[in-house]
Amino acid sequence: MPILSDQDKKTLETRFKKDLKRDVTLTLFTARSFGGLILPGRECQTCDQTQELLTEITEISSHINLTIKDFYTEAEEAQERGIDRIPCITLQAEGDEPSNLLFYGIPAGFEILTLIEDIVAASRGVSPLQLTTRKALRKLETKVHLQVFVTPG
Amino acid sequence: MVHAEVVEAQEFPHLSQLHRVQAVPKTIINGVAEVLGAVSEATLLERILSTIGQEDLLEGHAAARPEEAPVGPTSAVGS
Repeated sequence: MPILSDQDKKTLETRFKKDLKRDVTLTLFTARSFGGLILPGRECQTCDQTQELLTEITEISSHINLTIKDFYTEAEEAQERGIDRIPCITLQAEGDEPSNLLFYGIPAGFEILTLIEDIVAASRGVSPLQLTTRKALRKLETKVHLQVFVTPG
Repeated sequence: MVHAEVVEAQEFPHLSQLHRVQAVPKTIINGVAEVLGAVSEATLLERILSTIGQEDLLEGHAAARPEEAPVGPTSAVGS
């Protein structure tokens, strides 16, 4: 059973055709199941659904690729990137460093729009922020860590 | 210098409880300051800069664009 409706897919296809410039790779840190078995302590409520959703998104545009990483067996990379929970989605545009943005949990409901906008912004390499904001952020001398709590809505 | 996380509040209840998330959206800055609701870009920037003590970077910013009325939390968690 697909997560995205045909109408959703059409809308996204139009958007991606119009706005994607460079390729974007989505990386999903997840818990791989072993022949359908989940090891105790490694249960992940929304990992499978998140993978399904991202797969559907990547099927809409050849500019979007998906890499799957196992949080437990590929723990080193997760640690390096400060990822401590799953499912976790990161993105990286071709020729850019990995984005400093992490999505924890399934981007369901309206939250998918946030992910789509970030894919587009990464692909175009253009910040949606106002010039004055960007100017201030460029002069930061201290690290800033933002956690935005959301629900699917 | 800026790292951001979007956290699905219901999937990570321990983290939500730690930051007393009762409604969303709620933004936590450097684990200490909190911003409730979908505020304007200017307001969020002000809160970030005041949290890290770099309000000086705001000069000319706030004056150029009057602050919009903040929007409160839009939905409760776990309801």
